[in-house]
Formats: sequence, C-alpha cells, structure tokens
Amino acid sequence: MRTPVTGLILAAVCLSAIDPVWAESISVQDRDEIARLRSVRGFAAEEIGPLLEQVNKAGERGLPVEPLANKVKEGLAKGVEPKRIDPVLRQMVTHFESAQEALREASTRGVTEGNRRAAVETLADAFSRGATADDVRELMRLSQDGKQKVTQESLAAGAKSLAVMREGKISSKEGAALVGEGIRQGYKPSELLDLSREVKRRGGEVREGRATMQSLQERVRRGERGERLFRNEHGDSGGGDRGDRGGTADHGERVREDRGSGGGDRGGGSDRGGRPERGGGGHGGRDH
Amino acid sequence: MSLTAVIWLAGCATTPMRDGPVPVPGGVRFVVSVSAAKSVAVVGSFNGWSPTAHLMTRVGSNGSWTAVVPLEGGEHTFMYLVDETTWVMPPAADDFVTDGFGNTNGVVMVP
Repeated sequence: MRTPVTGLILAAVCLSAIDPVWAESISVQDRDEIARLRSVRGFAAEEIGPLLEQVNKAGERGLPVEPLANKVKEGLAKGVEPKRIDPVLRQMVTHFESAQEALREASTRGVTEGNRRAAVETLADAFSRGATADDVRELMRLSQDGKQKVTQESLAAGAKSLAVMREGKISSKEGAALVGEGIRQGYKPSELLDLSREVKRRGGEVREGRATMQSLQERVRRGERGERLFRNEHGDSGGGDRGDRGGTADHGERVREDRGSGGGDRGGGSDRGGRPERGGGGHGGRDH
Repeated sequence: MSLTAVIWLAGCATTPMRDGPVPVPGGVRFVVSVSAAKSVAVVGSFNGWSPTAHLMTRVGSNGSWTAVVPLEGGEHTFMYLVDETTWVMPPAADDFVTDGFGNTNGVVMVP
C-alpha cells in the first residue's frame, strides 16, 4: 500500500507545480477553426503546427490557452503569415508568465486571490501596454490600508489602468497615486479601467492645466465614482466632445488588402501607435 | 399611435446613427460608415475572428452599416471587414489596441 500512497503524493506535488485548475490544451473547436482558416488562406498545415504546439505548451504550464488560440485565429483571418504570428504568440506567453510571477509575489504580500485567470490575463495585458512589475509593487504599496483587502484582480486592473493613463500622457506618479487611491476606496476592476480610460481621453485637459489629477484623486478619496468624478462645480461634465462613450480614431484608416495585412509597418512588440483624434482613446498595447 | 410616439419615431428615422459600438437591448450595436461597399462585417474576438459570423446591414443611403451582436460582459477587440478583403480600423470605439501584426483593433467594453 505504501507505493500507491507515495505515488499519489508525488502526483499531487507535480500537479501543484502547475496550476491544476488551469492545465489545459487547445480545444477541438479552436483547432478545427484554425485549420479552416489556414485552409482558406492557403497556408500549409506544417506552418500551423508550431503555433498549435506553442499554445499547447503554454497550456501545460498553466497559462491561459484561449487568448493564444484567439490570436492565432485573428492572425490567420487577417491573412498574416504563420511565421509572423509566432513571435506575437511568444510575446503573449512571456507576458502571461510575468503576470503569473507578479501575482505570485503579490500573494506572498497579502494580496488575496480572486479570479486568478482574469487577473493573469488583465495583468499580461497591462504588461503588453507598458506596465512593469515595479508598477505592480508600487500599487501594492499605495493601496495598503484601504477599505477592503486588495485582490489580484484589482491589482491587475490597477496596473492596466496605469498603463492606459500613460498612453494619455499622464505621468506615472500621478497615475499611480490616482489608481492606488481607487483601489484603497474599493473600486471594482471595471471601475478602475473606466476611470483610466476617461482620464486618458481627457489627458489634454490635464496637460493644459484645465483639470488636475490631484483634484480627481481627492474626489476618489471622498468616495465619488463614475461620471460624478468628471463633473465640475456647475454640474456639467466638462470638456471633451464625446457625446456618448468611446474615443474616435482617425476616420477611415483603411488597412491593407487582407493577404498582405500587417506588412510590418508597426509590427512586433513596439508597435504602439498613438493618434488620438478629438479626445479619442489613442492606441496602445496589444489585446489578448 | 400617440403624438409623442410619432415624434419619437420621426426622430429615430431622421437622426443618423453615430459610428461606433453602443449597448442596446440584446447586445451591442455596431455602426460604421463605409460608402461604396458591397459588404461589411464586424469581426472580432467575440466571434473567433470569423469574417462571416456577423455581417452588417446597410442603413439608409449615406453609407451606414449596422449590426447588433450579443456580447458577454468584458472587453472585446474588433475590426471591420469590407468586401471580404479590406480590414478597416474602427473609426470609433471605447479604446484602441494594436494587434501585434501592424493593425489597430477597436475595443468595446460590455458591463
């Protein structure tokens, strides 16, 4: 009886090295869809093999598979050659690993674990948009002693919010102070992200001195939320010409014909653009 | 039909829809102006980047195309595909992110 018990313990230890909840491989449905897109685009099956292998290996290490499979589909749908999809996948995997590591470190410092998958994906997205592990540590420090315990999700959303605000040319120090205050006040992850996108849209007002991050932080500290944050003393929502939601990009930017899509104009990891128009969101980062 | 309803309907008929994704009952309504197109599709992470899953419908004569897509809560990236060959960056969205391949995706946030 001793051997089976030892085996069970060993198996449990091995499984815990990866995340037992996460270890997964690409779904049959995704695999079929990728094969279909490959066929439509006229790529050879051998060209896709390394991509699928990369996705499955990531899954074996407990990294999220679905966003990786989705990126393969996106690339093929846009007519991107598989050899150009490969480095994009690798970069995503690197960001997932960094996110996992940062969240592991956060756990040891008292950050509570919530929806870990969502946290890893959000933090990886934050890293792809320029956030760093040091940003995460700074947010942990700034959000201590808040109303509620900091969760991995709120920390990840905080890091992404910081990256989004930087895209709006908001300084790291001011952005971190605002996000840290939001976390302290128990802002939900979605509220942090909404806040950051609004600040990004209004980045021009901050730079021109018509709005200050300090006053916004004070309002957050007082517990104000949502659209109230951006109302001035007269009750209107101030500048910006967004009638509803959403930024506006350059109108009608046509992307190249499909097979040649992504011809390398801004390819690779440093392809963060930035051409907001009319207070629009600007561009940044890579989605998952 | 009440006068109020008539005015409301008349307003709907004459007010051009603003480009971009807007939450509506049953999903998110995407609107984009693309004149001289034979077909337009909204393609994104929500439909596995399928070029045929959500074809848009032409509205009126000013080149507006629209589609209502049921979306789960969260963030979704998307682009428009015109005439099955040309990928078009959304002119309006909640946010924008590069796709790693040299294009810019729109982002729609669903509460």
